[in-house]
Amino acid sequence: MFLRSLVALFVCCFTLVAFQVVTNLFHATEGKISFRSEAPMELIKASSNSLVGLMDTVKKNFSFKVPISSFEGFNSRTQREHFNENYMQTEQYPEASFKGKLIEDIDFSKDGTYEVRAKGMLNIHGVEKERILKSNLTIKNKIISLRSNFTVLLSDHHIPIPKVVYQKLANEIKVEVNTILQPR
Amino acid sequence: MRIPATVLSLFLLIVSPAALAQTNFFKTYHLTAESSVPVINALYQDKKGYLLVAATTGLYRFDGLAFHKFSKDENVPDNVTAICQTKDGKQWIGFADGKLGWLHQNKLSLQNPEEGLPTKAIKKIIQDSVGVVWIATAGEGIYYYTNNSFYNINADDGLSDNYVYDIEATQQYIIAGTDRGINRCHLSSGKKIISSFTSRNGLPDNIVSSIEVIGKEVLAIAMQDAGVAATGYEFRKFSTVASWQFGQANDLLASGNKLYVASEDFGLVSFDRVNGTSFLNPQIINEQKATCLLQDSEGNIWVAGNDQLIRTNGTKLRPLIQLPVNEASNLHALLIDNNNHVWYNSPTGLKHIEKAADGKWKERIFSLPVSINAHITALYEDKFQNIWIGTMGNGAFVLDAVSGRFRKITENNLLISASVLSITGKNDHVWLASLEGAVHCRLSEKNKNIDEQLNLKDFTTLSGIGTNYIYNIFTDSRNRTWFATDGKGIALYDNGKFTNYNQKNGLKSEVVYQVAEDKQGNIWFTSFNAGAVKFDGKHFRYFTKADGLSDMNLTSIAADKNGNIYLGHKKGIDIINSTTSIITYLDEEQGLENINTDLNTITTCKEGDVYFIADNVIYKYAASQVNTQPKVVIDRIQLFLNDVQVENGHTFASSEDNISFYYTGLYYSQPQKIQYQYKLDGFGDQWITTNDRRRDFPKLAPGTYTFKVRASLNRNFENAAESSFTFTIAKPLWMRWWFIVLLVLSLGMILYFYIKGREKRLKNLERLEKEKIQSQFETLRNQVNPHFLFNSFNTLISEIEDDPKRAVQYVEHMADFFRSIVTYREKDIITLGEEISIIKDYLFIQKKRYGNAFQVHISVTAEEEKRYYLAPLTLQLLAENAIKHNSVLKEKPLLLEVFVEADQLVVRNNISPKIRPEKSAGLGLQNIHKRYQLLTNKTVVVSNDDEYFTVIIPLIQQDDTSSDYRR
Repeated sequence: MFLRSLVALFVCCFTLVAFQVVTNLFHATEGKISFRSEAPMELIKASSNSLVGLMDTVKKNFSFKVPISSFEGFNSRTQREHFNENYMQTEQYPEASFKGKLIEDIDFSKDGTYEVRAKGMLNIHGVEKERILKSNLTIKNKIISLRSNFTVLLSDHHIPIPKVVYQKLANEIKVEVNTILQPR
Repeated sequence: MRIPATVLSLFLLIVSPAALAQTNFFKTYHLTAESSVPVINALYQDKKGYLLVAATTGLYRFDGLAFHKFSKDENVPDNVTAICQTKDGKQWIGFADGKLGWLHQNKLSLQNPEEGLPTKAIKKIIQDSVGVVWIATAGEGIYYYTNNSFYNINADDGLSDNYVYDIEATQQYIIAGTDRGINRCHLSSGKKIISSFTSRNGLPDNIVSSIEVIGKEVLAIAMQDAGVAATGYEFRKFSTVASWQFGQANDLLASGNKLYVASEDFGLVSFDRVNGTSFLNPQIINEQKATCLLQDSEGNIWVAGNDQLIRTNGTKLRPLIQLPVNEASNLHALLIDNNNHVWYNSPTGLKHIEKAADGKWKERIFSLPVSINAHITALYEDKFQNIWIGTMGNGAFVLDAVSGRFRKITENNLLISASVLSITGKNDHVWLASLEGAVHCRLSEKNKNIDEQLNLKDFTTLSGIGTNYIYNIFTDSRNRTWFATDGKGIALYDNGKFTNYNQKNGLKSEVVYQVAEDKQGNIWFTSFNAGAVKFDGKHFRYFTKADGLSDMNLTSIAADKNGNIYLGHKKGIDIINSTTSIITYLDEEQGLENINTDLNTITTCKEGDVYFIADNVIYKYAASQVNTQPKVVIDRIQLFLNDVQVENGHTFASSEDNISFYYTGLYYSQPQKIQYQYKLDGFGDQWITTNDRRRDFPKLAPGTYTFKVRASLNRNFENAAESSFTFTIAKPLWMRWWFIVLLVLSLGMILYFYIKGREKRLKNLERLEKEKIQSQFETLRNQVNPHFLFNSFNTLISEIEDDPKRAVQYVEHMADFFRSIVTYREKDIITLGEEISIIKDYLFIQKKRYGNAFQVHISVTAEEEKRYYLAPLTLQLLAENAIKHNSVLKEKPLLLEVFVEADQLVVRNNISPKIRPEKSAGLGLQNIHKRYQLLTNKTVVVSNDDEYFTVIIPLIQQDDTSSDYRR
């Protein structure tokens, strides 16, 4: 009798865990993130395909990060060097991340397009800033496509802009995220 | 008789409500810090009246002019996020890192509860009606503090999210806005009962950033994305603002029927609350980013965003209607009718503006003949709600506002071409004041129809007013009528009789413009260049610049139901509180300029609100919402110019006699005008007027003092708010009562012991005297003892026979001996030498008698004779004793030895007792004993060892002897 209930409990636990693994956790492995700085004198843009992330649709929390060194597509090699060495101090702060929770109560089991807000800590250049970011989620066949546009103020993250390049670097950086989250 | 009325066209227009945006006044103050640009997180007004500003760089207080940063303990963080003063007066402070602290005596310190402190930012601290303190955190839910313990409510207890933006206390509940909806909490016998409402329950947006309790049943909520909504405590229905366009709503404030919203993108926006739960007619007051709001005790509404602190007039003073410039410059008459609709003259006709049910303004124009439109001077609404129109040179008209028909009043000759200056009235009575005289109309029911003839009567110079130039007529609460005249003062018409008040009665100016009455029944009026006058029926009290009036040339006057008197002048409106005589101002500090000072342009409505025109705007001032006088706070107390933390009633040491006081007057509406008066009770009894905010009192004498300070906006300190601090400077040690008592006691004791000692000494002396007398008596008795004399005379006889020469010697010795006794008996002590010379005389006498049977050895050096003292006749007594007690025989001679040994005189004789001992009372030895007791502390030792009888007498050295004994 005792053994049977123990077995039942074990099976129960196992299926629960298995269920969770199958339906709650979604991950992104090759997310695309790009940014643009539209300064009066110069347009700087770069992108990376190394955005990784994890989202729990029951706990409704998430975590995304991208290595700064993975950004490519600058106008020139020098520009990229400047980006990594002068502005982002990549060696010291190798990653940018955004961790937090989803505000909206959406049903992840239903296909559809949803606008959700993600609230969390945006960490760039080692400086955390609490942000509420809007994103577009499209759920189709248990696959989530995420798209988000937001701006980052360099001043919020203590990224210094030397006076000389003021005309070449805008304080407001436009960021676009495009990724697919698959069940794990 | 019916008089045909002219019917004229009527226009209906809708005025755009957004036109008012630029007229909303605000004043900006910038908070600065040394380290970085501060961001203001929260605003609070403490019980003293100070505005407290929580910012990323610290906690500040703002006095209307400048920010003052509070000092803090070393471990206190900079980033302050919440402030709350609880009922017990304690000031709770919350920080961005989750710490909690106190603001006590102008200093920040950390709390250190056993339970530990939160680690997430404190968003808000409040106290509910039963005294429990509630703390909202950005990530740890809600903490509450009761019975000296902290408790937590978080997601595990059922809170929908741990990130709490705002909490509000209602009678029953604590309402919390979180990242995931609204939570309604209460404690029931220690249990936490929580209900959550999220988007699943119909909440428009899960992020609820602010909650404002509007009434017993209505709450307003601000959301991150969905704007603002009204709801009830059951959160069943949410009525949102349609097409929200102002971005994230950060904070809410309800005041009157307005809701103010601090918005992220459009700054401060106000809404009209219509029908309880609808927020309509947004007005952007200031476009800077707004994060928090506060309404102060004067009714100002403050908004802060980034480093800016902005003061607005709030709902107490509101721009109502923006006028085109040409209308404003020609406006002479303003009327607020029974429905609170606004009437005024314009070049195109008489305008009527009302606020419709949807909160929008609607305008109608009643066009009178073109020549008249521009010359309307007076408006009045009678009890039938017909509008009376007075003109310059064209008499008066009556208008039926419903139909739009009007007619000229022609049934009185005086009125036909009169220049009407004012139309006033009460109930059935209407008075028209003109340059041609006064006209009275008694209304009857039929006059509801403007076509019916009016019952009019003239009052001209002859009637008793004194002149035909009448500016204003006023019927007071006792139904007496007052006439303000040009040149003849003021005339009172009561029971058919006129009383004239002019220069003879003490009136300073006989040009009187307008009359009003306060709630106590005093009559107030304005007169040419003489300020405002208050008449209580007996005396005229003048309010002038010295009392605080801004201008002496006042024309229009109005009274509200709260007892305030409003006086218009070019630069603003002076308001006199008729009860306290305190004067306050509406002027450039409120954004007012170019006040229309025409006689009939300041008016009140039936609710008591005051309407007037400044620049091109009709303003409404709600006096009931206003705290009308500055407060005053003693900020700091210094001792020798260093801050000291002392409570009222403190006692300073006597050397702490240099005290300074810092004080601040708080009146945020007019911070520049504040003046002070101070006085130090115990130092002086005069109030001293100053603009300084500090006063030093160096070198204060010991005593109890009360420092009193009061603040006013002018030189009138009558009924001004006062603040005081009582302190004592201790008397120095030598002035304290206990010291004096102690001193007197010890002096008394010293005196007592001195007297006691002296008494004892005197007693000793007395005793000594007695002993001496006794000794003398003894000696005399012995010396005149018949035996001695008999023996001496027998010896003398034999000497005379044997050798007359020796007999003479013998008698000489006897005489010497007796003289010595007489000489020395009065003395206490004599030198050993003197004593020896006495004994030698005596021994000479005795030797004559006994021959060799009596031998004496005196071995005392001359130096010893001088050095030592002893009681007189001591030796003589001892020698006499030796002879008395021993048989003196040739075969067994009596040997008496006298020598000095160790500062003592030894007198001894060999013992050969008499066969028949002589009777002796032993008085001689006793006498010696007693005398030595009194003279020295040493004793006379007597010993008898069968061979020798020895007496050892302590010798007195010269320096032992006090002068007392050597008389």
